Amino acid sequence: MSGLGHFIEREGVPTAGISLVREHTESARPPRALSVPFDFGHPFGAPGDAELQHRVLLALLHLFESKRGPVLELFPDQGEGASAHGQATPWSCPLPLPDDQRGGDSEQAGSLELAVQAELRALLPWYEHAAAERQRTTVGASGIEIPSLVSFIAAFLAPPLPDSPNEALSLPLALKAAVEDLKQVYLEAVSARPDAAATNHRQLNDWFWRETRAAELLRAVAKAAHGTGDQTLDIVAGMLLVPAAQSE
Amino acid sequence: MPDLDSLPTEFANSLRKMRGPALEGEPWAEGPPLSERRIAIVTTAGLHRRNDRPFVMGSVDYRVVPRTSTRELVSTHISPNFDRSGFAEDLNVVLPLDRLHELAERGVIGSVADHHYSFMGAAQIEKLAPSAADLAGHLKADGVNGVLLVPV
Repeated sequence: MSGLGHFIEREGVPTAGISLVREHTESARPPRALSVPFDFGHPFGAPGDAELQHRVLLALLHLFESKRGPVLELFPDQGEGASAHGQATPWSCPLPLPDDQRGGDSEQAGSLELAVQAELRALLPWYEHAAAERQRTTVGASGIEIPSLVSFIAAFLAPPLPDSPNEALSLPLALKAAVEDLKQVYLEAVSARPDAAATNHRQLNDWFWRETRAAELLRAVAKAAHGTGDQTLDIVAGMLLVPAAQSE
Repeated sequence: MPDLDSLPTEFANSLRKMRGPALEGEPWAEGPPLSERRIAIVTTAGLHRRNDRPFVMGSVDYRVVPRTSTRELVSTHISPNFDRSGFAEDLNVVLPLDRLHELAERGVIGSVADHHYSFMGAAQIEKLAPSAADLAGHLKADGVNGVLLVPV
């Protein structure tokens, strides 16, 4: 990000950037930067908090009034709710997820795939509700229809590997996009439930990675797809499917 | 973000190693008062319209994000290490176009550009220079004299 600021400013266009890793910004010294205390993925703070978003935006814009640079300012507060620091209080999703198969032989790929399919069916009404309410969805980058996401991902549990269903994506990147699509279906669905109104993104992500069979499937795929001899698939499986914060 | 020390050790160490190379010079461009500025956003969230080419590992090019495309946006950023639920719930968390237009209506800024731009922020910094220079030409042609750079 700092590099982009440097290169664009060099062409005569003034820039001001959000800094999420202050150490990087101090090192790169872009022309104007505002260090904010929010989590990755939240440069303007909490969703739905227009007042906070306005304050961050104004603090960023006012950097254009600096007479000289480089200038690095600190946003003076942490906002509230979703972007506050500290451990998230665990949240459980009371959806009727298919416990009947939990505790069974998770080494049976077919059983795990069926369990995730059942989870997905339970979540779809809330996903559809969320998309209608928000008039948008962030699902769809893989080009795979939602009902087919689980079977495509589960196909990586054992050879032979499937073909990429998207001509714009290599097989490893189709897997990556499908994983993000599946995760977004879950997160969009549960975040639209009335009983999740007070949750923040840390709680939602912790719920996904600690409680769902989908996360179990993704971890199993990351393990199975690593070491196939395909260098790109090794990178995707080893580094790009499970967040670092959820793997230690 | 939280202090690096509060993150998982391996992740924090990888972030510490991600400091880019020193960049030559300290460029500084001037512009008019804020109330006269035309503002565009350049994000590195890997956003693009659903039917645009996805970003892939090593992408150093950008996608155009028209102000009318906000309901079509998805992300093909390759990193798993940022939250995407906020972006799903409220686009303004990563691309605050609603907030920007509100400031324009209040006269705080002059105007909002019709086009915004997206990179995928996992590229090596120095490899972004040609695309950034090309983009700067389009920004100037559009009368933009304030660019907000937004990472995820």
